[in-house]
Amino acid sequence: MNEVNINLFQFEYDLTWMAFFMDAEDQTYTRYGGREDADAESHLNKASLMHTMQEALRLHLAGKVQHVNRYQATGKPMHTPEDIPTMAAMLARRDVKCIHCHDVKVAELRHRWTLGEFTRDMVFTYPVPSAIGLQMNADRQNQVEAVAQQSPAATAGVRMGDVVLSADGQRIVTFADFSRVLELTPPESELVLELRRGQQLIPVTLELTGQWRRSQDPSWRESLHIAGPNTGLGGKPLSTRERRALGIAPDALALSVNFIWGAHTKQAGVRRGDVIIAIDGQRHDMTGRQLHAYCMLNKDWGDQVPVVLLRDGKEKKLTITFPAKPPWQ
Amino acid sequence: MTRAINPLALFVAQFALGGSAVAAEIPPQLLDGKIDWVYSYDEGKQLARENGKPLFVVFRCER
Repeated sequence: MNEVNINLFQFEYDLTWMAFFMDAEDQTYTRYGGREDADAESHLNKASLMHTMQEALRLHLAGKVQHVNRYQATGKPMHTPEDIPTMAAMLARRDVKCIHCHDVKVAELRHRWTLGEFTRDMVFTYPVPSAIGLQMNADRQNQVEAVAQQSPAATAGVRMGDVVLSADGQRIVTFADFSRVLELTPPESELVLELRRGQQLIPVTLELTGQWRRSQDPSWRESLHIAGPNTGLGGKPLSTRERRALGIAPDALALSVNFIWGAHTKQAGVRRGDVIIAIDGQRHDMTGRQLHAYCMLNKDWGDQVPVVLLRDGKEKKLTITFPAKPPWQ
Repeated sequence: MTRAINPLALFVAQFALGGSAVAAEIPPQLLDGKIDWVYSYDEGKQLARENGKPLFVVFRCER
């Protein structure tokens, strides 16, 4: 992302792939990319990319760029990742001075943290349609595949099979277009969707309130580490057979520690080969990344967290004390 | 053109437009694996101005 105008190319920087279809004047026809928490490629496939390309060409032939509205980034003024105040310090620690996508978000969040403005909600950028109850078809990405019961979309009357033509007046072709609208939609708001249902055009208004912008499992986000401390260890969930041998239920936490990098982790007495079966009272199954995510979102620097692990077949209780401040401070 | 050494590569390519000016289904064109990626956004925009084609701008993180 070195020298890229991030006032023009605004997108979910935790992603590893993102595409824009544009004209020669910095205006966008449509976006393509994005993911659900559970699957990095939930909405990336050949069929949908080809369909999006067809639509982009059609829009180009018709001269239909997106309107210059609040969803269309103008790119002005020019702003690059190098302009983020914390980026210089990040790059100084590297031999190769390349700026990754997630570095943009990490640098911005660190800057907010330094200013005392950071909140954990800032990690949850670019909410996806499922956040408001809409499962969009992976191939035809503006078509509703399913509506979650008791969701804002269900309450508003959206139905399976509806085609979302626009959200708050912004044309929706893809999952990424919808996510762009949701990124700029406040937590407490009304969102108007224009739907095509058969031959009918139907406007519906979704009432959005509460924590809908927070997804269930943000553990895939590289920027999540800004949110709080991690356990300083790597682990792999036990297999079904290994769980059975230890008497651990299939849906219970059973993380075998295979790497320790945290001084605080070593100090607590955690060892390679330990099997973590509870952390902070949480006993549900988690991957290593989900374990980190739990601590990053629920514990603060300097906190202590109780850990229960199995070592040589016996339960052992330890306490991890997180460092008093983040490593970048 | 040289390829930028950058783990976050920005690829820019331009579409081949279908032959018809009517907004009907545009058939895919066989490129036989030969896509001329442009590694400069400004260069891509200039090409787009010259030949009237839209841009396909890709950000790919090579972690």
